[in-house]
Amino acid sequence: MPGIVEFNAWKPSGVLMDEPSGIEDAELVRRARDGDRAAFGGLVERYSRAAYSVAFSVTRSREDAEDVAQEAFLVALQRIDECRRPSRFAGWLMTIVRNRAKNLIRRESIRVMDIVPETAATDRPNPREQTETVRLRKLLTDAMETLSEVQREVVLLHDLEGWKHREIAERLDLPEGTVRSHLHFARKALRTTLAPLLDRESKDGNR
Amino acid sequence: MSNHDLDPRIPLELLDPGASDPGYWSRFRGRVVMDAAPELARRRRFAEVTISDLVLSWSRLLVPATVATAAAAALLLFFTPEEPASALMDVEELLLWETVEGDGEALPAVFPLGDDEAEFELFLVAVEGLQ
Repeated sequence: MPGIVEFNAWKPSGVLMDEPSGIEDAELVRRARDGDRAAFGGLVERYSRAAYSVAFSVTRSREDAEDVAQEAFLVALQRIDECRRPSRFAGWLMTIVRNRAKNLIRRESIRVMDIVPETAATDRPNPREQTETVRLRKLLTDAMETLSEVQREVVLLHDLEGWKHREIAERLDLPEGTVRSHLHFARKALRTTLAPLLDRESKDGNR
Repeated sequence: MSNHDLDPRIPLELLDPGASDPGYWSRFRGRVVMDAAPELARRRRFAEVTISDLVLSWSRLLVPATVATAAAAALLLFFTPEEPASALMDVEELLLWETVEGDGEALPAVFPLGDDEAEFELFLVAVEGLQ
C-alpha cells in the first residue's frame, strides 16, 4: 500500500502538530481512515501516554486507565470518519477517552480503589524497592484524589507527558490561561499533600 | 517526561507504567494495533473496493444505457413512416388552384391538348369566365 510512513524518527509523545519533522495528525488520520496500519500505529504511539493520563485522571486506577486508553483507540478508529477536524485528532481522542473512562466509573460506581501490582517488567526491582514504589504510588494516587478531574488532566499532560500549555489548551479545548491556572493550583495542592514525602526526599538528596 | 520545572519535584513518573517497565508503551502500541487489525483490514478493503466499485458502477450504468439508446435509434430508423413527397405543381396549375380554391368555384371542365393557340384562348376564356 502506498504512503506507508516510517515512524522511527518520531518522538513518542509531546510532538508538536506543526513540528516540521513530524507528520501532521491530519495526514495520519487520513491514512488511518484507509486502513493504513503504520499511520494508525503512529497515532497510537503519539497519543497513548496522553490517553492513559486522561483516563487515569478519571479512573484513578492504572489498570482501568490502561483498559480505557486501549479501548478508546479502537473506538476512535471505528469512528474515525466522524473526526471532522483531523488536525485536532488529539482533542477528539481525549474526549473519547474521557467519556469512556466516565462510563467505566459509572458502571463500576461501587468499587474500591486498589493499588495495581507492577506490570510484567523485564528488570523487576527487588521486593523491598517494589514495596516502597507501591507505597509512594499510593501516596501519589491519594494526592491526585485531592485534585479536580481537569486539574489532574492538566498536571499529568504537562508534567508527565511534556505537553506545552498551548497544546493542552488546544487539545482539551480550554483557554491557555485556564490551563496555566489549573496547573498552578494542581501543583500547589500536590506539594501540600505530598509535603512529608517531598521533604524527606529533599533531605535524602542533600545528604 | 518533563517535570524538571517542578520545585520541589513531584514524582509523577510513578504513575507512568512505562517508567518501571521500558517496554510497556511498545507493547501497549502493539496490542492496540493488533486489536485494530480487523477494522484496519476492513477499511483497506473498503478503500480498494471503492475505486474498483466506482468503475464497475459506471460500467453497469453505461453499458445498458448505450445498448438501449442504440436499440431505440435502430427502431426509430426502421419504423418511422416516410413523409409523403410534396406535390409538385406547375405555375399555371398553382394559379388555377389558388383562384378556384379561393373562390370555391369548379375548375373549367376540359383543356384540350395538342393545339397551343386554341388551348391558350380557351385558357383566357376560362379565366375571364371566372372573373
